[in-house]
Amino acid sequence: MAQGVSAADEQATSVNEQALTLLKRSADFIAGSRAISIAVEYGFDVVQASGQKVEFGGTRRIMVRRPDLARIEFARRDGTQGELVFDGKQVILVNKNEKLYSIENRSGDVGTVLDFVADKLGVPIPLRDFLAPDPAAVLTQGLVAARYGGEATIAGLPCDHLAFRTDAVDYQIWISRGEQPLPRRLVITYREAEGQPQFWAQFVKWDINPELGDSLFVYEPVDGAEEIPFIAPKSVSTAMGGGQ
Amino acid sequence: MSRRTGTFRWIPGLTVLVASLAMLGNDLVLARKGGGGGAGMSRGGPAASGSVRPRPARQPNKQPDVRDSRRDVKQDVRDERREIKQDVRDERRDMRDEIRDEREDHHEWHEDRWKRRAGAALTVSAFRALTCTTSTIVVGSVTYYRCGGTWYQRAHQGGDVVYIVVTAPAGY
Repeated sequence: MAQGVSAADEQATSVNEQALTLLKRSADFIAGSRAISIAVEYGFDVVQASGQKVEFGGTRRIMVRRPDLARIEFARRDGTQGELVFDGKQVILVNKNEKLYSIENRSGDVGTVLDFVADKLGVPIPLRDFLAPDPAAVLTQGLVAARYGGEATIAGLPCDHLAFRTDAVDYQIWISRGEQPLPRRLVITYREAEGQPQFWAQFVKWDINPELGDSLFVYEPVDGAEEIPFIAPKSVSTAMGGGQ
Repeated sequence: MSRRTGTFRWIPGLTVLVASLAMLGNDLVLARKGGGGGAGMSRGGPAASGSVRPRPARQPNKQPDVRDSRRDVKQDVRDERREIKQDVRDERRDMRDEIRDEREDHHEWHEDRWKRRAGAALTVSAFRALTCTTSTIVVGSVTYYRCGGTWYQRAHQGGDVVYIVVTAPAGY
């Protein structure tokens, strides 16, 4: 190993203040909203046992009314449609295709409750980092390096391209220039995971402080819907039961 | 057929697998023959989280990793560390209770147990799909699937619907 600090080392650990400022400005802008509605398209790699990467994904509409109401409608590429509703007292996960739903009693602010759903129930909630009470703190947690990549155009909008490294992941974010400094694209690389899979999201539409009616945050089971329990995540994910 | 459901405990930053041989002997061996839902593809993993805060303990198809747990704990804020310690204490106590329960009644499976504990700790044998031709009955508001001598019902595991092994409904 060469002595001294190489250019690569320096690059890997230097924090560009402009990049950090732009990120925080965006995060604080989102945090300062009363309500948010986001339409997003996303995809993620799943590294198979063979090492081959396969992408899955879908679209989501994320609606939040602070402090404690959320509705996330999702359509996965495999055809699964559903929603996750947080009405301030309960979290309800709905599978519309099979008319199934699960309920977990939980109260608190949206960010904390969605963290619980993701961390404890194992239900992936992509982009929940932006729904945290202080997204800037989440996005800079364990920050190792920040880089500014210059201007880039995303979906016709001029953006600043920023790249960050934390002790857990590498991620890039493209943030609109102008009065509403909103993320337009996000790419996360799970550097520590085998095969270094990536998650990407394209923010198709942002609405800051839209009128979101109360009825959006209430779940009424449809006729014939069945309640099923949540069980904790586990490692056997592709198993089939009862086969011969 | 007597069948033990394996217990897979999940707590923050630390995963403890307590699988009985009976579970491996029945469910999982059969499971492999089926090939798996979605043509056997794995569909989860850290990138599915879409978060800059991946949790090592939630990565599917990964053995418990003490190093990951340590790193995870280091990254966490102090109160979360306290919470983990509390969880570990709770979990140990629960595990002792569990072992005692199992000794007392080897084949009993408490349906309300995991309902109360949903999200906190315990899962049972879960499958993406059932490969046999099932007969279905509805008892109360719960749909049961019968597959040979084994009964299943549905549950949410992560974002997916899975089939879990349950005791036969009353009268069957």
